[in-house]
Amino acid sequence: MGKVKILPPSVINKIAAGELIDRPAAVVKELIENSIDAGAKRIDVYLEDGGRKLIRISDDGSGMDAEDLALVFKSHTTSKLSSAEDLFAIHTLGFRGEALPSIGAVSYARITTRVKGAISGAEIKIEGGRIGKVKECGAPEGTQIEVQELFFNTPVRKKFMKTVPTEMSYISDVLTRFALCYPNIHFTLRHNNRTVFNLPPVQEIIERIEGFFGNELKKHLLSVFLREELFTLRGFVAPPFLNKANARLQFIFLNGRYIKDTAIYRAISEAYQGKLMNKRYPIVFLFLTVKPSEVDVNVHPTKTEVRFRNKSVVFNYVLSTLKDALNKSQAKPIDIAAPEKIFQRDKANITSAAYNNRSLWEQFSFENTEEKTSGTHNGTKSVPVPLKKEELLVDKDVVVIKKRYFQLHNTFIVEETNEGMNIIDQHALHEIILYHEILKGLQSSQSPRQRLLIPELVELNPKDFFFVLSIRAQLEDVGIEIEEFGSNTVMIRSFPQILKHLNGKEFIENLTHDFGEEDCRKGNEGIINKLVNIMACKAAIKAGQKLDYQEIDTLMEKKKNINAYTNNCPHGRPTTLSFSLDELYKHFKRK
Amino acid sequence: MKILSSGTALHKGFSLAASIVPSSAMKQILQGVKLEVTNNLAELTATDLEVLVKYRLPTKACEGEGGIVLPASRTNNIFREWSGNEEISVLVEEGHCTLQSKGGQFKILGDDHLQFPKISKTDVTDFVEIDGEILGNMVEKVAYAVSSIKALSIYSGIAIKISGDTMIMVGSDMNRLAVVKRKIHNPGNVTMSGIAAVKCLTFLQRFVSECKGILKVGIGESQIHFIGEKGEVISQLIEGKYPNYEDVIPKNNDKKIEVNRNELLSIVRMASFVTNEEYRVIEFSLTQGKLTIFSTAANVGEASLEIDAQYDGPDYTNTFNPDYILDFLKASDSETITIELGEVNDAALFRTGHEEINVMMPVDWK
Ligand SMILES: Nc1ncnc2c1ncn2[C@@H]1O[C@H](COP(=O)(O)OP(=O)(O)O)[C@@H](O)[C@H]1O
Ligand SMILES: [Mg+2]
Repeated sequence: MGKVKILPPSVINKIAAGELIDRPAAVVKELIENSIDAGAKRIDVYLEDGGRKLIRISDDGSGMDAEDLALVFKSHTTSKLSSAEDLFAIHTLGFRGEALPSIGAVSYARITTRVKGAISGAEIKIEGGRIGKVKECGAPEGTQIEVQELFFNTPVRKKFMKTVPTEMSYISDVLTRFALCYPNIHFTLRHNNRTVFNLPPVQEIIERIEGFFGNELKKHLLSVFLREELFTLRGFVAPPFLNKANARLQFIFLNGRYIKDTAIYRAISEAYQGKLMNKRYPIVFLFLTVKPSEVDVNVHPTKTEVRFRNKSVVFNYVLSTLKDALNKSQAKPIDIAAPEKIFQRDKANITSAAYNNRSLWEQFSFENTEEKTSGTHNGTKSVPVPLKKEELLVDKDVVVIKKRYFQLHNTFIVEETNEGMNIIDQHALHEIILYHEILKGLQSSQSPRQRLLIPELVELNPKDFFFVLSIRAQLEDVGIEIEEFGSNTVMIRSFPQILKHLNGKEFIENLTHDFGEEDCRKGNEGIINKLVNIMACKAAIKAGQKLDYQEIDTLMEKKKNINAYTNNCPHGRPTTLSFSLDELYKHFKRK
Repeated sequence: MKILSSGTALHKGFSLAASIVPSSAMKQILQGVKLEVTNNLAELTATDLEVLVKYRLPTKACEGEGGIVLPASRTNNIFREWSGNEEISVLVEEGHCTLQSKGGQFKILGDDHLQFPKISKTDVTDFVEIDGEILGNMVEKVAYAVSSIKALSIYSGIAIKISGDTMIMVGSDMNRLAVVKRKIHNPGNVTMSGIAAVKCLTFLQRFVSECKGILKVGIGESQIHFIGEKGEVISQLIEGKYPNYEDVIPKNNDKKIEVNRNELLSIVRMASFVTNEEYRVIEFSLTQGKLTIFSTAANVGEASLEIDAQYDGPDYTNTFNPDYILDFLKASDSETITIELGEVNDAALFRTGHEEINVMMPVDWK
């Protein structure tokens, strides 16, 4: 009785703040959005102690008059929406009217502001949700918001704040995103009296990209463009040889807003399918403009999640635009010297260098594990290529290497044959070799599987979970032993050795993507065949992967054994193009 | 400010610091090594934002205060060329630095040292002590087992646990697990633990070869610190909880043998000559007084190799990945190895004493 109470607004705001304002970076994001909505041309961010002590954001935007200022800390007050219909036509970054009340609920905050041209400015304070009175004061044109002692009254949140560098890295991410999307706004970020960023306005987004990520990347970016009736996509994507160990350089902006969207991420990874090594991610900067009525941004308080009216159309647009751009870039000759250098540099930079340097052919494994302890730096120093004795014609000091093959653009192998020459697609060739090897292993029951010492748990969404369980018997046949482990989680107990360079968890997580509906309808045989296909494809070397001579040699050795089967990779793409000497002679008009 | 130092000292110190510098940093300033002089001490600092290293440069003379951020690889090249020179003087003025030695000088433009990123070190309060060389050797004993494909997960790091007078390091890729234990000096009797990135620890191996002597080690909530007389290494920890390694160490494996490490190493290595590239399997058989290793590969052939082993239990056969065995044997420096085996599906235990342990799962090979 009398136990159910309506919460006082201060408590409501504290709860709402919990969703929206989870760390200093969230405050920075919300306040910059407001400044942008106010038409600011310059936004200065000043922080102390990673934003934990002080966040101050000043803009030269429209400012607010005393009347509006009195309202801003009240919940759901916004100047940007007035009716529910407006929700379907959002042209501003903010619209929920939640940010300022939420921030005010968990900090000491103060706004000083002056409308352009007004004689005097106004000031308001809020202390942990207690709103003060508006006072007249002198102030520069625009708005200045100061947020102090964030989370002083929510000890749990406060405890969850990370170290200053961590909070700073979140905040830099936020600023980077805005800066990329709004090149003509001047942004500065200062921390404890040090300048972290100073980004004067520029004409083009690409200039900001260069500023953040360097000239090398900028030089190689491919621009993408598509205009449809309700949808425009423009931006830049990096060719596959420029890639990253994580997806952090995938920027998607929608109507001026940084968003995360699984469908678009999927389209990106599909566009680069087969072009990247496992665990490597493309670099993309995509700017989408969609008619506001076609997208719902009111999905989550932070507004980074959106719902498209027609998701699959967006998916297809992005996929085809990216594919086009990537294909075009492949056709034209590229300067191989430069990409190679970057590739090498990047290699040296990742912790899992061992993985990238991994030799496919670890026959003499005692040789190549030694390098593990040597420094990971010095990426430009080339690793000596092991040579077979027969290939060395030793003439005192001169070593002449007689090669019958070489790698082209890190993607193709050119082979001299007695009859002429072959051009071979390294990924397709390796894939077909593995495909037959896996099949042979299955038929002769000689496919080793590694038992896991610590079984790996994979949490799946319900759809994937049920799908994976439904093909459990077939998975077991190909060497992947899984078990149900609580709701929506499976446990990997063993994994085929042939996939030892793959991450089992990711393999399982991606299974539904890799399977088409037809594949499942084909029954037991069809499913196993599809699994073998997927395994061969994922375990095979990728296009763009540099091979050393020994690796090429071993690959070519194996090629001899598979020609008997077929010339095509399991997808039906050719592995080899042959040119006879006769043909070459004819082309050069020697015959 | 100005310092005077020998070519070797500068080259050694600078290349140590430079080796942590990322080659493609977002911010140019990160691609540099900071040189700073305060209170007549010269210090080099470099970071990739995950690992930070500070190194006190041995100098012959050191005057003034100030600093500069020097481009890592360029400057490193210069010092490498001059590493044989008896004396190099480094003069830092506004925005640039002049390196002078026998036969010439360089003027190198640098960045403002005040802009160099700082890492706050509030996190760590307690420290224990251990000889740097021992620590480097511990890393060697577990780093090989760490996963190279589970980037960012706890299995891409090495778990470090300190309690009482021992430090334990654990590395695992989920198929196998390596443990090493060593004594430490723990005057405050503190207990602490964390997961450090392999990158930090392999760098540490390099660091301790330059900065010999006792290291203080402290683990906080998000950082691990290694502090020596000549410098320090600070690294961000990997977030997450490492499984209790003791749970996976088999306790009831009843087939126990002791073998000579070199002998075993040599036959496993030889047997792996005739394994397939994709299929890394050897058969491991125990019979009265003997350990036999057998391997076979399609289109290659077979190998059967044996060594003496004190064994009088029932005949036993199982299959393992030879690389896992080799990794352990190569990292070990003991003369003999103890192997404890259980049933066919049980984990096998390879150890030297009780301080260096490797547990691996067999391979199913029907
Ligand atoms: N920097 C600013 N300049 C001008 N007006 C602002 C500024 N920040 C906030 N406002 C005003 O305060 C209102 C409330 O802001 P907020 O709580 O972030 O909600 P929303 O942005 O969703 O409208 C905005 O609608 C706007 O009218
Ligand atoms: Mg807002």
